Amino acid sequence: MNRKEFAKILKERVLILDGAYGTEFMMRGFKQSPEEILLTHPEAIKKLHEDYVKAGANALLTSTFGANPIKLSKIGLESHHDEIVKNAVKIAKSVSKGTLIFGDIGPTGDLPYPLGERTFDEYYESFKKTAEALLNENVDAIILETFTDILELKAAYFAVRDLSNEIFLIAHLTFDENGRTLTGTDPMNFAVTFDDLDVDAIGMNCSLAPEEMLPIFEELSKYSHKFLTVEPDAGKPILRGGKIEYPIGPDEFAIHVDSYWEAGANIVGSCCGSNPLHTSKISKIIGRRSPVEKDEKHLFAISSPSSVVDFDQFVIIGERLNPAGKKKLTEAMKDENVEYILDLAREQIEKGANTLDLNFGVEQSISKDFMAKVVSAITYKTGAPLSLDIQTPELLESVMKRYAGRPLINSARAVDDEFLKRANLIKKYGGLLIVLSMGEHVPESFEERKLSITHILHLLETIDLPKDRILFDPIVLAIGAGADARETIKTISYLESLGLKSSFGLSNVSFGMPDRSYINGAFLTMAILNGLSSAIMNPLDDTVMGNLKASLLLTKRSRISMSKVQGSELLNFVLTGATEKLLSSVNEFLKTEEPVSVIENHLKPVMDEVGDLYGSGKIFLPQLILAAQTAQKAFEKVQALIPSGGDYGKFVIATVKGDVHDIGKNIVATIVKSAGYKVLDLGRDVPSEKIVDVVEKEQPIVVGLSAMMTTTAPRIKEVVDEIRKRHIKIPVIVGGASLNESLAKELGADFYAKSATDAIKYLKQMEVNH
Amino acid sequence: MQIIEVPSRDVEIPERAIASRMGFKGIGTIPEEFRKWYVEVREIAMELSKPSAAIDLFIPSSYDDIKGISIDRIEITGTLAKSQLGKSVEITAMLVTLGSDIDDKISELHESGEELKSFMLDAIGSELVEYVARSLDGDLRSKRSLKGSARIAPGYVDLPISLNEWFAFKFGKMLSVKSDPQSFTFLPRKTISAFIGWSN
Repeated sequence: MNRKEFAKILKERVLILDGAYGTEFMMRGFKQSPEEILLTHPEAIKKLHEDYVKAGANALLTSTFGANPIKLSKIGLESHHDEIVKNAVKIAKSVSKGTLIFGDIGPTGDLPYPLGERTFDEYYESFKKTAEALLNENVDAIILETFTDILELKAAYFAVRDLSNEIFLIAHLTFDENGRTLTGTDPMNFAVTFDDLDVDAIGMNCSLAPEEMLPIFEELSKYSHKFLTVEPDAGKPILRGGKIEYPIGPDEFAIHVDSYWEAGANIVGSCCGSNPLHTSKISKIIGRRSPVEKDEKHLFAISSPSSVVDFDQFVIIGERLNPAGKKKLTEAMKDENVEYILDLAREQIEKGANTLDLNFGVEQSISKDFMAKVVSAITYKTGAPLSLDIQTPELLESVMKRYAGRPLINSARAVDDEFLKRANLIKKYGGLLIVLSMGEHVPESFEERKLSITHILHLLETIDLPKDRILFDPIVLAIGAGADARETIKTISYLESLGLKSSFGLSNVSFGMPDRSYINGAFLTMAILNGLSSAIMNPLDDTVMGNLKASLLLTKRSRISMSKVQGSELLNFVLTGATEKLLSSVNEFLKTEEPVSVIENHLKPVMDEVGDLYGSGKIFLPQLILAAQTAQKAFEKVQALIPSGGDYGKFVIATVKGDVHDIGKNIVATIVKSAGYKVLDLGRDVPSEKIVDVVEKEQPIVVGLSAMMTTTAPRIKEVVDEIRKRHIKIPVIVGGASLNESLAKELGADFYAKSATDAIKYLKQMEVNH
Repeated sequence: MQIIEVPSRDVEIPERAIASRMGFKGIGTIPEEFRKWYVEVREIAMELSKPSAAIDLFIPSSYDDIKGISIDRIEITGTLAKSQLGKSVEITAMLVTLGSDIDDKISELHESGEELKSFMLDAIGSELVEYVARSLDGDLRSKRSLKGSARIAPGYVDLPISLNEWFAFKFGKMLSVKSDPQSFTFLPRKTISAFIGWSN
């Protein structure tokens, strides 16, 4: 059956795919892999196929899931590859009676570089061999199942598609309960990346029960324009009486089948733990139904294995991975020093780049393998999608094919040959393309740029490439060479009026000029006001970044968000409120370290980091509170193990008499506790005398007073006066909405805490002084 | 005097307002990472809040540069009062409260170490009481033909906070609201007072 015929069927009805093989063979008493069973007990394979056909399956998977040469080599069967594939298809066909045969290809089980050692080419060659054998046996479709990494899946896709344009091709990823694959891809990213490719259906299988998989499938359905397939597991395996069981029986499984149909599934099967009874139930419920019509979303986005960058918000493309004028980077490219390049990438991401432009400089001196290695290292290790600034068409094609996600291609001029070559590359390999609004000659005016844009829009129609695959570069020229920057701005405005996205290389504008940052910053502001979508720029330039942030805020296009903080595991635990994980790490530390060391070397440094992140505006107040609340539990646990209590001293805190506003005081108390101090919180509306009584009795190292109202601020002086009257030597920290530095001094306080973390700063300073 | 009870779930509060109150400045929504807590705490806020308001209309004396403007034997002084209420022929006074259950819950969460939830509940409460006042304010304006001033509250600019004592005295009994005699803050804490002047 060819693709068109297959697609026609799927437009008319939902198909039922069979169920599990590996786990079902285990249930039937076999201990080997299906490939081994195929060689030793082919009748068992045949019997299970027959059972699935009887149960109502419209499609059977060949027993070739683990038959790729890399996988077979792990059980010493690589020399049987062709025999296994041939026999598997033959057996399936022998019982099919009109049931479709899907040639099944599973992953190698090896992770790609830099997470593992495998290269794209090794995957590709291995899958190509299996695909070729399956195609030779005339299967009706090929299904790539249970892949946990998007690059490996892409390699398998090309291995099949490079051999045949006629075969119906299905690609699956496997997600965990958090909706991510093992290497971090989410369903939106999967949809965005594979929608560009010439695959017929995408979907998911394995690892999750129907109920767990449903929201992930719905997310995929929301963004994918392909046919959809799904095969959930029959739950998580349980070991009972030495035997593995899967808890979800056919009836329970069937409860969820309707939901998958409603979410747009075109082919529904079942995975690990299921058996022909599950298939029978699925078939009875949706076996004759037509598929539902979906209304998918279009995303103007690029991706890496673990993140999607959407151009509906302003995108900062870091410009610094370009060896031009950079001696050290040039040497790193020459010496194939991936770590140096990674450091430059991370530096830009930390400073706010959403994606990175990657230029290799003199491309003739760089090997294809090194290019692929750098691209994989950056995308997997930093999570940033890339803008591939590669000029040599063959090299660009090689990198695009091996790119794990959806790249941005920088760039093509509006010259037919050049544009069409690159447009065809993104059609084949996926991605977005920046098109320069210039032809053979550098444009001086807006009108010249407009002509190029119009020409490209016309060409897009002729090659059937949608506009949402293209960004236009309005061409920035050096004002130092006499160019008029306003012509670029007019072009941006024009693109915005047509609903087209734009991106430019910002720094060109100030080339050869003094005070480049100011010129770049001002020009970027003007461009953003006129609708610029993204810029290739230097995120390390604070002036320009400041202008950018302000411009986006003023134009209501703010990208302010809870930025992902890069840091240690412990930092991640406290910032996300992962108390159990934090306590578990603390337990690990306690196995080899003294409790005091755990506080000094782990918990305190983490909370110092949290304080710094808050102080520098990198995290928001709720994140600070959550971190403090989480860390506090770890401190309490460790301090309980120290005979002396292990705290750094007592801290008395109260909201003064007459003031009932205590939320600020509460936050400070929590943060101080989370830094290892013992906090005596006297509450709100506390009489001055009571505060001083407690101070006298408990002898804290500091007393903190909070007053929100102007009417209650004088109470601070009352407390301070009473402390002095009783000759108690103790610093007083004050804070609250009604106070400021000078008022705090006037009221006799030693320190004014403006924000929630200032009290900690003061306490630390005290530690240093003592 | 009119006593109005407003079902808490009928009050529409834009999420951006709550996000901003919580300190997620500029984001416009509650970040996904915090949504689970937000959903839970918002539900608590809706459950425990009993928004109610007391509203009355007063005929003021004419404005005097020294004494300000008087209603019901109190003098409302200051530049804010002059600019907003100075030309009023009628003045609405309103006291809005969420009741004390939400205060208790905020304290309870704090004491049990759930500081984030305590903080979030406080923020949602603050916005809820403000949006109840806004909704009543809008309702009044839609029904009256006179020109309404800005809604001004004791404690802002130079409108004396001591006026809260009068609000508590005038309306407090009906809503179980008290004012601290020294600081003039309200109890329950999620309580706000306001004047609106009406002129020709």
